[in-house]
Amino acid sequence: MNRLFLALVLPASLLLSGCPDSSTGIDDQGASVSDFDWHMPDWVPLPVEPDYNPITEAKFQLGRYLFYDTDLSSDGSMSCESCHQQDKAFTDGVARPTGVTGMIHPRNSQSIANAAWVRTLTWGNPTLTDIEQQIVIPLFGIDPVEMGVNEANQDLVLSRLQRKTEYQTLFAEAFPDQSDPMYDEQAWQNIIHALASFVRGMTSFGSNYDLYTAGQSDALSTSAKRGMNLFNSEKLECFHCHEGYTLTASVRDRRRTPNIPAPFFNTGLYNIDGISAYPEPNTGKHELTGKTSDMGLFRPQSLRNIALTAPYNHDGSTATLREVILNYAAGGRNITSGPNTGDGRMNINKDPFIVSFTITEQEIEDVVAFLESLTDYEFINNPRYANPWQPPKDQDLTP
Amino acid sequence: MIRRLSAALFLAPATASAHYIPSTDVPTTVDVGMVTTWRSSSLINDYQYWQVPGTLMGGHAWPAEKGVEVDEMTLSLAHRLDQNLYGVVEVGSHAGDSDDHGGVELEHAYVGWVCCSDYGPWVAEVGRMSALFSPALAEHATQRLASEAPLTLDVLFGRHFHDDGARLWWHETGGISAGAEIWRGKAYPATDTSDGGAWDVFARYNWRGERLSWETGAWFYSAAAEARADHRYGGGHQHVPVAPPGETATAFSDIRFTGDSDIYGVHARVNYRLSQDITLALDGEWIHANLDGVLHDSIGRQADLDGDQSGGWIQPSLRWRRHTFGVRAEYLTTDNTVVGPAAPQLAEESGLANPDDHDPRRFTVIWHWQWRDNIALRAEAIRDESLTETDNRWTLGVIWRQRLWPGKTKSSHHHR
Amino acid sequence: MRATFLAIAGISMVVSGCGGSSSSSSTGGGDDINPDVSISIPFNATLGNDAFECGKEYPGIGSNGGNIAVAHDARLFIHNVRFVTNDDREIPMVLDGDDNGEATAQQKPGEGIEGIALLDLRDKGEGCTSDDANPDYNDSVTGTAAIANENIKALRFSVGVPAKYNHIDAQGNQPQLDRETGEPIAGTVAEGPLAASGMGAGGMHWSWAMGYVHARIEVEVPSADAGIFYVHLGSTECDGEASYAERVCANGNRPEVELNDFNPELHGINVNLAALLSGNDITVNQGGPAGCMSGLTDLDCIGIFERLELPFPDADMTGDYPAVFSTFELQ
Repeated sequence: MNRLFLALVLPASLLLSGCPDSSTGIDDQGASVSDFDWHMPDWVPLPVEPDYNPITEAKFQLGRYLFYDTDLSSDGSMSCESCHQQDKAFTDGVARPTGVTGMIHPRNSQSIANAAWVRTLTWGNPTLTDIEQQIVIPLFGIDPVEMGVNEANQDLVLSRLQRKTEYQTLFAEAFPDQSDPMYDEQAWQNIIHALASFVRGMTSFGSNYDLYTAGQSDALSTSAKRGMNLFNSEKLECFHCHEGYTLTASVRDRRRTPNIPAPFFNTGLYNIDGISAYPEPNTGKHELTGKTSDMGLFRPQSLRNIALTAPYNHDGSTATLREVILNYAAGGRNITSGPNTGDGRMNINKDPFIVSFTITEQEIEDVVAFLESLTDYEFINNPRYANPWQPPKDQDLTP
Repeated sequence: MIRRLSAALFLAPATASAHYIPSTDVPTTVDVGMVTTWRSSSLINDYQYWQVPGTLMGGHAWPAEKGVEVDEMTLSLAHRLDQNLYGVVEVGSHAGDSDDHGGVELEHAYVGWVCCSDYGPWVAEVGRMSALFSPALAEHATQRLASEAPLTLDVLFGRHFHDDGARLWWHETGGISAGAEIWRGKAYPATDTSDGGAWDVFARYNWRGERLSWETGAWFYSAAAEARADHRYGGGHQHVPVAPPGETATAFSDIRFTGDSDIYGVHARVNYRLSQDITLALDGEWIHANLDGVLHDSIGRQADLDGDQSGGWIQPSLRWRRHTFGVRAEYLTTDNTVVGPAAPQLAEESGLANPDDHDPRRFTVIWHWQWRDNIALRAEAIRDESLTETDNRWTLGVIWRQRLWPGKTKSSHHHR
Repeated sequence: MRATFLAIAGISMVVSGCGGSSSSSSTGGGDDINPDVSISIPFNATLGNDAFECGKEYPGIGSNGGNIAVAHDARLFIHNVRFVTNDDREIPMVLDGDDNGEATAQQKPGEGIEGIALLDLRDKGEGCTSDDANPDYNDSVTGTAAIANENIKALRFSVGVPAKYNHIDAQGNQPQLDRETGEPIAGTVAEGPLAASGMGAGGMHWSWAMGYVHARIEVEVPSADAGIFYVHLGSTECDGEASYAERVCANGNRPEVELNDFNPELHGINVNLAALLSGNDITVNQGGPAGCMSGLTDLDCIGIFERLELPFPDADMTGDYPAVFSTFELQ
């Protein structure tokens, strides 16, 4: 049969002798090239780096020392780690953290894993896109005060750092083009650039879910697989806002030129007095834009390591993943008593994907199992991201 | 008489597919056409997407599928209102990937105006029509010698070209047809968005002698597209397809194209009647497309595309009485450059990537037997190298083509 | 009032446009008839009649008889300084740079929105905390204006950072980019006082809102829980990406000041914190952060904005309020 076929067809191919050859030339303009070892799988697109602060290992290492240094706060009591602890995927386990002066931050500490990939950096701010811009907020902010550095004490804080021998070489290696990177007027900028480099270099793409998508079918339990299908179903609609390799729609990388506004959504958590209000000052995007249509709009979080970052939502007002799922299942949160009384399900800004659905306890367990499969134990145990001022812990957090 | 009439009918596969204008003599006509074909194998597996390497595809270019399938069904009604005016309505169905896509649609609905006698030479038409610039593009499966549409037309025009628009042309007078068409842009590769749309110009000459007849022509078509999707699989709300256990299914990558497609072509067709029983024919078209625009997607990835793609076919055939034996050899070459940070991914997901420098080819050997006046049978052997993995398949098909009203009469109008 | 500056002009005339030609530039710079004169406008801060002194207690600050307040901060940006002639023409004051015409830490040279000065009226160390001299202390605006032969009836200026520069990268890392071309937008790298505010705890930039603090007035209130009554004036209801120069604010919140009968030979400008706070009970926080950080729902802002003649929800713009800005006689 095949011979007959070839006998019939091959002579026809003589009709086409001498045609030119095809090719598709592809030029990604260097988007997949980086001198820095990001310690992540090669399928992950490289993140955007600002031209003024290209990441280097030396800046990353300096940033790591600074990140864990309590001398970087006004009274020496707090470091970045105070609110961003490795074993909790760089969150702190409390609803709302407290700064050096005792002021309680209105919002929940976020995981900073993969911060280099988010489109906007904080819960409700549509304009904060560079980690370098964000870092000055906890350092120098006054509403709320976090690390408490201010004009009056910044020289003192700097002098505490200058006294540490570790920094002499770390600064020199991180900023080799500067003659005196720790002492001249650029010192604070250098601190910020180094901290930003450490945060930018924190990559977490090693969960069981990643193993599963790479083809290791038994990396997920049957329950997690059922949960994954629910997650991706039109019933739960989770995947619309928690999509892609970062598991959030708020994503940017070197391959993307965002052509739509950064995503912020209202999930129907509040509806104070029935006028769709969220409790001050946590009004989300509205806090900056002042538009009523932006009331209660917050950035969709990456769900990577989500099982480690309780409590949840922008103000830490939801204790467990189960409660988060139940809020979504109800199509919002109905608060029946207290100062925030109101039916969030009726919030006028609520995203259309937040529709109620019925879900069984087994299904909730399955979705939670899927969310737990997004935990990257390698990341939270990686000495690369651990406190350099202490000897490594002999603690294995793998269950 | 019957013999001559039959000859006129089954000559159709090998001669020009004249654009039909109902005549004042036979003011109302109803025609039906249907092609059903059995194929020995599918070009691609279920849960895969047909994407010729090095190209962007779309429209209605569905892959050949194993088993019996109605390739096409058309029912058309034409009516001459008066000396100058006529209207045509045609509905049709096409083979598709799923029921959603294989439904019946309105292919033609247009009104024509003939000026300045009842034969022209000027004709203006407006409504939903097939484009006339390339004869093969307007050809129905019932009229074509091979069962499958030319590969180049599948790739560059998404197989079927029906669009809303207007046409003004000099109609088959003195052997010459020439005109211009303007399109809303519903037909691939344009879009019907505010900056989309398409237009074309064409000219052809046809000559008929005692034994020899030929036609040749050239055309230029230009389309603008905005965020054009491959509507075969994408363009709307995307779902991960549900595959049975053991199969894997991936969501279609909804990569869009915004930019211009400038396409031109030349075509020729020669018939030589060797004897009362034997006619030789040679058919061919060569098409070149330049694609200039941006590939992009919903998550903000972009890359610039500059593509030059050429394709065509050559089709010698021999008709002996009611049997036609033919060979169609098709080729496509693509030369694309994709530049931008997301170029590797967008090229791969759009289908433009061509890591093996593959040259798509397809060879079809055809036996067409006009069994009855209105029923033909067809068998083919196809070597399909449109993908890097070659597919060999056989086909057997039946073609029904008939004028239902006004019964047996002249098949078409004549020109002086 | 006839302003005669010929004597001064004779000493310190800036030569631009003075070559004897018939040049009559209308964009300032002076000419034969109206040569440029050097001008320095001093500012001071007071609480009532008493000079602002870091750490000093002032009784009777605020409404309802007032409370004790301790001077803590008094800084403001100003730009678009111009003189008004008797026939209602505005003559711009061109702010000076350094000897090379470059920006200094206190002044970005230029006129209109290009000329921006940061006034820092804290008399002691940074943060008003010690007895050391405040290195950023700056109590005057210097420049030139073609007013030698003009009849000047008033001085006008705007408080704050002009919209064009309000959303640049205060750390001076990068210029804003044109979204279409990706090219840097000229002049959008922070310099002078705009850069100084973004370095370290500069204090005059809202890092979280991507905008400058137009004015920062603070008093400590020993009897209040919050400790400090802040007045941080900044633009609000902003949208758009700062890095592409697309950020636009519905409320600029840049007070326009006009001081009549101003004579630069005789007068300075007084900023009266007591007047600014006279509508608020400074011991009470009516919502939001202590004091007024310009938030539209912060009731503490009503009195502040009324006195700055800035629109605000529920503010009474017709009231007769004590003047925050006034002239004072030079010694």
